[in-house]
Formats: sequence, C-alpha cells, structure tokens
Amino acid sequence: MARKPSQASHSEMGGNEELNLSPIMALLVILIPMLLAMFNFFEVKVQAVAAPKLGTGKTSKTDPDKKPLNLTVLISKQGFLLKQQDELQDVAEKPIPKDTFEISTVENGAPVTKTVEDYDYPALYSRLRAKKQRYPDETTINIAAEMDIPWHVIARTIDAARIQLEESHFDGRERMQKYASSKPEMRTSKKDIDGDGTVTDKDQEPVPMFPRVVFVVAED
Amino acid sequence: MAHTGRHERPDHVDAGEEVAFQKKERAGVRGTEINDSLNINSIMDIMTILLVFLLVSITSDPWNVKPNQYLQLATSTVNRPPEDSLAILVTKRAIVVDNQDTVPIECMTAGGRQCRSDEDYRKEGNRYFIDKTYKEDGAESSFLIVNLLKKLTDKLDFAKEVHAGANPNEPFKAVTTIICDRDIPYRVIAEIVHTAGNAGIDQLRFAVMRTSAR
Repeated sequence: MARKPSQASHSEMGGNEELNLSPIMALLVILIPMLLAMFNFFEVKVQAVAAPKLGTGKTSKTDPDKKPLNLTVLISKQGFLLKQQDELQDVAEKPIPKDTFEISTVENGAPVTKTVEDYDYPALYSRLRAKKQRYPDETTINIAAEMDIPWHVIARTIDAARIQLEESHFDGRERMQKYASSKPEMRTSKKDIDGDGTVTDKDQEPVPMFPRVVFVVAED
Repeated sequence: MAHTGRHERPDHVDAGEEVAFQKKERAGVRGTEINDSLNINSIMDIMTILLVFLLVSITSDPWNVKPNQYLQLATSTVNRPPEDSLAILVTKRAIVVDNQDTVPIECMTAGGRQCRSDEDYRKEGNRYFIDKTYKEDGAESSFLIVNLLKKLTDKLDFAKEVHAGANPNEPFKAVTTIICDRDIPYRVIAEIVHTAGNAGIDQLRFAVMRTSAR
C-alpha cells in the first residue's frame, strides 16, 4: 500500500537537497574577471639570435679550408644590400631599394586600399632563396643595420631569411600580398612535433633557410 | 468533487475516466506552482571551461607581457615557444631587468625636443638612445652599458649558484629573452646584445607577437 504524503521521510540522510553553489560561484565571479584582465589576446613567441662574435665566422668543421659565405644583409634607410665573402662573389650585388605597395586596411569599419612605401621583403626573400640554392650548406646569416633602423624592420628581415616558403620567388606588383599570405614549405621532422609520443609522417616542420641569425655592427 | 474549471467535467463519467480526470487536475494544479530555484548548470559549465582555458593560456607566457604605449612588440611568423629565462624588458622609457628600471632610455622628437608627454611618445620619427653617462668611460661611441652589465652579471651569478645546487651535473646555459618595443633602434639593441655578451650570456631570444601574415 502506498504511503500517505504525511508519512514521507524527511530525514537529511535520505533527502534530495541541492548543493550550495554560492561559494563556488563567488570564487569564479572574482577569479574569472581577474584572469581575463591578465589574459593576452595574442601569442608571444621568440626569435633566437646569436650574439655578435669576433672574426669572420666559423670555418667548416668538415673542410677547414672552406671559407664561410659570411652572407650579410645590410639594412639602410634606402633598402637592403646583400654582401658575402669577396672570393665567393662573382658579380657585385645590386641593392634592393624600398618600393611602394598597395595594402588593404580597415578604417572606420570600411575597407581602404592605401599605397605605402616599405622595404621590399619579397625581393629580399627571392634573393636569399637563390643564395640558398647555390650554397645549400650555409645556415648563418649576418644582420647589420644603420643605427636608427627600428627593431620591427629587423624582425621582418629575420623573418624573410629564416625559413623557406612554398614559392621560391615573388615578383610583380602584387608580390607583397602574395609574400604576406605565403605558407612555409614543410618537411617531415625527426622530432615529435604533435606531441603524440611517436615520430610519424604527421610531424612536419618548416624547411629552414638561414636559421642562425647573427647581429653584426657594420663598419663605417 | 470541486473542479478547477480548466478541465470541464463531463456529465456522465465511468470509473476509469474519473481517475484520468483526477490525474489531469493534479497536473494542472502542479503546473500553477512557481518553480523558484534558478538552474545554473549552464553558467557553471561556462565558468569551469573558461577557468581551465584561462589558467592554461596564462601559463604559456612566462613573463605576462602587457603591451602599452611604451611597449609594442614587433610581429613575426616564428613559432618557437617562449622559455623561462632572464628577461630584459626594453620599453621606450627604460631598460627593465627583474622589474627594476636599470637604465633610462632618452627620447627626442623629430623636432629635436625631449619627449615629455605620452603624446610625444606616440609621434613618429622619434629618436631613442642611451645617454653616454651610462656607457663605459662615458663615451658616446661605446657599446657597453655599465649599469646593465652589473645587473646582468649579478643575476647570472645568482642563477649559476642556484643551478649548481639543483643540477650539479648539467652545464649551465645562460639564456636571456629581450622583450623589445618595435620602435627601438638598432643601435640600442646592438648595445644591449653586446653588453649581454660581456656578461656571459651566450643565447639570446627576442620576444615577438606571432602573426600569420609576414
């Protein structure tokens, strides 16, 4: 026979009471705004740079008579100039002057196309890629700049020299857009990139071009 | 039996229909009761997921770099994660090591006037440099920043002692990360790098903001 409602058990042991979530909610309401205030809506990464060393660079370990290329990118207010070991240079390098590019930006919510003068990073990359094809064993690049060249120009120059892209060169009026949106050339890595505990074909890494960057001070 | 008026009672009902009718009335009565307990399951789900995400994200940046008007990072496509190391913060106003202003950075506007207000720092064409009084022998041409050298040497000596105590069999690697504003000129960077090299730091990293566009 079913129990009358007045005979139902009201004991705490058998009761179905709700959990008091007020303290947890209070903690979360304080903690989450605090964490949001500390949160950075961008990723911070690092570029490795070697400190400047005395001398002209290390000689090859396998062939002591082999002189280093000493490939140097000089950054001036006018543009880039590539230099290398004199004995290995058959033709003087032409400078890479700045150029004007059309960039698309958004102003007051509307897309706007502007013409700006900027360093010719696509042309620099194309030249460096050709150097790499000619001297595939070289991995070091020296970066020198005029004293008042800002850091963001140097950072983009290192970016142009560091890894190989899917395209080997960029030319034409739209080369800056193509260069900006280009993807790195990938190869199978010997390290566990994806963190699954094994090294497989899925572990891909960008193909390096001149990954070792050395800052030098250009002589006047 | 009184009825609520919602369910019109038929004139003639048999026993089975009577039970069904009473069930309907009880359901109707229950439906008018106000359910005054708020269901916060959804909010708790959001809060928990958000909390875990924020905790994981915050620990990925060991220095918690906060851009402001004196510190805007340069952009790069590099994907190398930051590692815990001695940080040298180079803003438009000073070189900061271990949260202490070590060396001030001078700022001159394009018009040749010293930067005074925040508005001056936002202008283009400013010149940033380290005063010669902070350099070796007080020489303008020197690349060695004396205060910074002392600070870095002290920090490294302390780090070596700690490392020797914790990992005596592993060689000590002196790694430093320079968190530099995008407008700092090459001269100042070269001076900092040269000074760091003299302090015994052989591995340098530069912090950048990652972008997908080159």
